[in-house]
Amino acid sequence: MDRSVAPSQQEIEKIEFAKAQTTIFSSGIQCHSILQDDCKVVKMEIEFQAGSKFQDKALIAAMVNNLILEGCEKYLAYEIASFFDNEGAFLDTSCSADKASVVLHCLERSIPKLLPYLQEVLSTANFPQNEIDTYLKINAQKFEVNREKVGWVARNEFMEELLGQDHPYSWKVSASNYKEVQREDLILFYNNRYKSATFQVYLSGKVTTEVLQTVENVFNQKGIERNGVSEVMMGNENNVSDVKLIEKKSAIQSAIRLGAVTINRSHADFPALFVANTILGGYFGSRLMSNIREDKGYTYGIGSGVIHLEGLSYFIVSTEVGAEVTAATLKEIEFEMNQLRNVLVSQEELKLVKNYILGNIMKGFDGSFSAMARFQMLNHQGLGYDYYQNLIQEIKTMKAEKIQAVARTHMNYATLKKIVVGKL
Amino acid sequence: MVEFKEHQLKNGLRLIFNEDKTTPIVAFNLLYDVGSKDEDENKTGFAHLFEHLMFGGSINIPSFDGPLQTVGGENNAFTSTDMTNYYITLPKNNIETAFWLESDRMLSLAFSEKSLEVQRQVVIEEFAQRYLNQPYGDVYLLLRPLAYKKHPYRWATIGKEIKHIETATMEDVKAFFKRHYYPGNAILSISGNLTFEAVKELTEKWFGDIPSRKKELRKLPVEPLQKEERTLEVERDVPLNALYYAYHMPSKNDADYYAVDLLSDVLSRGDSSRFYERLLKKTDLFTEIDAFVTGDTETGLFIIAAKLSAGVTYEQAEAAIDEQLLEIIEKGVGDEELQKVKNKAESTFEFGKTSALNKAMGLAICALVKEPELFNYEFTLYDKVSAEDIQRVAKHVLRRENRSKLIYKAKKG
Repeated sequence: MDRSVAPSQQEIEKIEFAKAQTTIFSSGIQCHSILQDDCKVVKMEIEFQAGSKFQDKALIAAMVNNLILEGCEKYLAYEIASFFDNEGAFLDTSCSADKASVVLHCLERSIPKLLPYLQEVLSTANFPQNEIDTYLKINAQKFEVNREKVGWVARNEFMEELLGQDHPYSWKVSASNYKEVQREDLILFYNNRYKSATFQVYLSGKVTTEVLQTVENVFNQKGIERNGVSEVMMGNENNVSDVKLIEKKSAIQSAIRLGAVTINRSHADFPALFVANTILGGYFGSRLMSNIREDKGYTYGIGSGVIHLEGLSYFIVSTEVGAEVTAATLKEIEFEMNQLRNVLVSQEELKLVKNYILGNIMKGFDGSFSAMARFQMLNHQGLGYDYYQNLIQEIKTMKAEKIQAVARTHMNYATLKKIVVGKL
Repeated sequence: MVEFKEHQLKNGLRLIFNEDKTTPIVAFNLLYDVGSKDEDENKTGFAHLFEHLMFGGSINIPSFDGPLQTVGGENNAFTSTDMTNYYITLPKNNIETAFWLESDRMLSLAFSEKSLEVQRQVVIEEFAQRYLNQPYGDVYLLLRPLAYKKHPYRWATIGKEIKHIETATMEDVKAFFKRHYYPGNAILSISGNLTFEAVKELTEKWFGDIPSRKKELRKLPVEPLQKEERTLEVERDVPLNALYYAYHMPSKNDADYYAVDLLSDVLSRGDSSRFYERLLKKTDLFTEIDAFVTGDTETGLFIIAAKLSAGVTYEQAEAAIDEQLLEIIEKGVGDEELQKVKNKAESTFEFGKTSALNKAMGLAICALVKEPELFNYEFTLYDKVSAEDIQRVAKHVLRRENRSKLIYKAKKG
């Protein structure tokens, strides 16, 4: 056996998906589900059009999302927490720029008991003043801790740098925000975006017909359709841009964030941009990782990505590097972006990246929970499963010339907005 | 119930296989029975540095990641006090590539100087990013040597100090490999839509001719019984005062481990837990408070970690925590409260069985700690714990003379 020779390789021909089934209740509420029969647990995500882009004041969307479980007409926060804890369930909230969710993880057998209670909590939340005070007190102090983290500061600044101060995606948190929140702000946002609004339900795991029936019985209620801001939103002009330095003298490492507004998943150039980004910084073997981590040892990790919000997509490069090599790292990022524009990708690298991407798409369907996350992404972007079929076809036939052309159009170091927190 | 089959090669390698017909990928998990506890006290951080070097090319294959990515695979690894674990996911048609790559690096590494130089630098940046450049990042670098005086758990997996990483030599690297990387010190665990026969055949084909070595008996220094409370006070550039307690607790092979784990859950798992409800919500003393166990194979630590609200004194904070601990020692827990944390444990276990990677990794870790069956019955060990057990272990573990206390003060101005 010659160990230097790789075993024969099978091309990835097609990918079998576990697809979501969508049921539309009589009220218009959409319920999406993927059954995984060999487990005993269910994940249910209830998703509202209640992300931070809808708020008029900093913190409001995140606070309503968090405090929705902290008291309702009938029950106190402690009673609610106990009810779910007693069943061994996990009830969490999450809030992004676009959406806000309440997520339940529990044993399938607990569903009939938990859902009516959850419905009651979500539809009669009353935001007790003491819970608001506790939240503000604790989080104002956590904010002080976060302010010491260069990566956190860079994240907090990034969207404003990218999109300008008044953009709905540009919310940034400052210490004074914790003094400005009023209970009325929360109640108004809740009434608008949760209480009288419609929502979507995502179910994965042991989603039996009984589970589906329970969800319909409990949650099939009339709500007002609240649309997300779906029109394309513009960012700052992609002009030549200098580095914005936020100095932290004691920093051992600097955080770097670079980015620019870019095309969305429906754009004809997107598959090529996806491949170009993967080559640049989208996986462990990427050029940024190979150069800046594996060759120079400047960092523990560096990556690039294309992030898709509703109506706005952006390209981002992100890393934390030894403070004394901050400038050198920026130079190398510029070099690697220029390489993509100036030199055709080799056949060998292209083949590797194509297969890596296909394998990674396949991995996205390991178990119903992952498969549902893929569906949720499609649903947010208004895409169907044919998105994956097209993407796979496009990637398989992608030419190096196309990648270069797309890099020239969409990847320009000079026009990236650049933030450094730490030292330069 | 996660079904699995086992096979052992003549050279000592253990194979565990779970057939999962529902997943499009295969999870290939190779665990080595070596962690930071196996390090020399003057060369700490080595197991973890070595994990990085495992990606720097093997004897017959110059690059590990490239060929794997070329067939649509992905991999990662972690090192802890007790183990070094490597895992791959890839399309099932290309499973043989995982065997090819992993068996070659078990056979021997390339031992390239360049790889050592670079990975040394990467690990130093990891040290900086995770432990030095984060507020409170060095807590466990301080707490471990306070709690342990002899046992190698006294240093963190990343190492005692950066100097140990800086001075690692190629000779050290080779000696470490020879001592810990061989078939009899490894467990291969696979989950995916394959047959046991096919997996067995591939294992024999690729790992069968790797020379066996006699498994060395581990002789770790025994930690002497702690007889009095230890206190360390430090000042750092952080916004809030913090307080940490560490108590010695039973090992994972002791039945009382499960009672102590549930004790930590009663105190701080979920928003209805005692610490959350009584200390975080009802008082203004803390901005964060947690109790948890380190989960080590050998005698680990039960830890309480708290951040104090601005203006709160250490006396006030300690009195409030001690009151809660005393209450559980004197009055124990109610049946309903105990059932609650058991239910949480049960659903956690069930969620841990929902992907091929979780199953492959879980079976391997259980095989290391005790036996792969543990993956299926571990919950029953929690379920057996009684309210009396909780009170008994609380009394035994939460003694002041069993405690190490870290006062982590915010520098003024």
